[in-house]
Amino acid sequence: MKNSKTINAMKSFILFILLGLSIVSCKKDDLPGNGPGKSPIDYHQTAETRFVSRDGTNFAYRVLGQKTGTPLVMISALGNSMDDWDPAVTNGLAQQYKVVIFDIPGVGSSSGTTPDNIPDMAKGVVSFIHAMGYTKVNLLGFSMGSFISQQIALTNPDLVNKIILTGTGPKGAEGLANLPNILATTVGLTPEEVFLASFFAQSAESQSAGKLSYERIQKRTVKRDAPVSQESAGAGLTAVLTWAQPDPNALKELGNITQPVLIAQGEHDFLVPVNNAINMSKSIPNAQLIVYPDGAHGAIYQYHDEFIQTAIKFLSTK
Amino acid sequence: MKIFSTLVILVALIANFNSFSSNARKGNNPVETKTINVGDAKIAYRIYGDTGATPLVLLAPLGSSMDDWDPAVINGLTKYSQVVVFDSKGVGTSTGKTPTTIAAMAKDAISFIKALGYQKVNLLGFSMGGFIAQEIVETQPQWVNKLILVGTGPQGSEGLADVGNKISSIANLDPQEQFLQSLFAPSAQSRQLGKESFARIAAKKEGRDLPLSKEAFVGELTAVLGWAQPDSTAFARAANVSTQTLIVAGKNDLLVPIVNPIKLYQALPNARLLLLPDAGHGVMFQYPDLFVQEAENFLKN
Repeated sequence: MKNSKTINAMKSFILFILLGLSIVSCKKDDLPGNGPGKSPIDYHQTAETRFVSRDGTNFAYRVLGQKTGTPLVMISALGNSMDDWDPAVTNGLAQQYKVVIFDIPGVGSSSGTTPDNIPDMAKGVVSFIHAMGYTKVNLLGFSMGSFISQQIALTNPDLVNKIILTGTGPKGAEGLANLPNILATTVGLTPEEVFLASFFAQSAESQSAGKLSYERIQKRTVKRDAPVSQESAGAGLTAVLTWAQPDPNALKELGNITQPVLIAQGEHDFLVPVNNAINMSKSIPNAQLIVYPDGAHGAIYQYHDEFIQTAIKFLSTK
Repeated sequence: MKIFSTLVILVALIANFNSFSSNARKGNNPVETKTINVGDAKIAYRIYGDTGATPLVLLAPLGSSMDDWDPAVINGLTKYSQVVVFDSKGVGTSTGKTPTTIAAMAKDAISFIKALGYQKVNLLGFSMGGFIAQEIVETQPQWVNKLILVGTGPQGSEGLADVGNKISSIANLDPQEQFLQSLFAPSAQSRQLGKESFARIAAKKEGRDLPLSKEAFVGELTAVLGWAQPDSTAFARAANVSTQTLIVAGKNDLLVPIVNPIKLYQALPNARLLLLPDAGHGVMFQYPDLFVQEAENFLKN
């Protein structure tokens, strides 16, 4: 591939930045905590990490909440493990739905090698879903997880009930190939600063919402997930940059998705610009779109209460 | 001449188009219709609910009077906000001559808001009401706290000039079918939800508002067709609007195709966008609960 050389050149430069992001999830592991949140609804801090094996991978996962019914399987962003979800989102959704978070192969506590392309990642996720014995799931994919979700919807449509995509774009998403340059601007920043700079808009409101989100993500102090390895983050980056390659048929292909889809995007998402989400919402017949004006890539963390209401309404509508 | 002939055709079908609302207009209305003098006109209005610091004023679409709002939307919104509906000049129960431009309608709406003694309101503009609302925030934004735009587009919206033909094409259908074809998507599900909305709107039997006169309808249609004319300054004007805005559109909107709300969203600096599938111009009537939830979240945020 013509761009593989560029990708490789960028990769090593970017790796430690991604690892900086993953430090978000393990930074305070050893600090004494205040115990799990006092609210009875706080599943995120206490959910036990379990393991299930399939197709050569030992998958780490957690089930949040006590609900039954169609599970909501959440697929993480690049460089993120189970602990990188904002608990405001996972807990909020777990009040109404059985929420399943997990690590794809090679990420965090899951064994195996992280694939360097989205289709193989999708196969890994399908293996996990099968391993759990689920025959139908709802998917929530964030950024790279949203790319994987699109792929699963196209290759394994029978497995998917409804799909929520956030920080998303189609194959060849406009602006996505610029990811290494954007991440490069965060060199030298602390993990919190990297988090704020990549997931939130520049306004004071967005930044302050980002700080609250960051704090929530640190809250789990026991039995945290393993950090994402350099090798795994590198494979993830290659997968994302390959997904970013122009594909003239991408939007047309998405027209084959028949499931209800909710796309939630931040207007100031500079990693995957909002026009991608708008284009997708036009191409997928049964897609609903919500764009949050002051949000960026982490818009659902910033607007967590509203997003949860919108998502629950979406999932519960027949 | 072309517009004129369209008008002639439309005048001929107005009675038909509006008959569902006029015939069904009687109902047990817990909310009284009041009137207030605004300039030389007597404006009819209703205030639903008494909660919320900032009232939400609804601006109606072409051909609609106070009773053409889906009660599911009004009742839902009323749970957390005072909701004001009114007939603009010459419409329904209000006296006066209906203006033939959106700009004049916007001035009238502000005069009405002033007359009620409000300093600042939230606005919900549906279709033509959305045109009026845009005109208000572009010319006198100080009256507006937040803005909700539904089934609407910027000045010169693509496809809008065709509205006369679209209305004519369904003129011979029965009132419910007209309602369904103009406001809902062709799918069985959308049509079913449309029938439910139609039934809710028709349920009121007593004290209903008066139907639109031909003069009022023609005035409004002229204003809409004027707004449909291409305007090179439309997006630049929108770019100067700092009012927080929620734009809601149905992806199958035939009257104001979604390319328009999307462009408006892109031009407005502080807007959020909600597009809903399998829904047409009447998106908020099709999904009243969802719409109310999103509107509430937007207004209280």
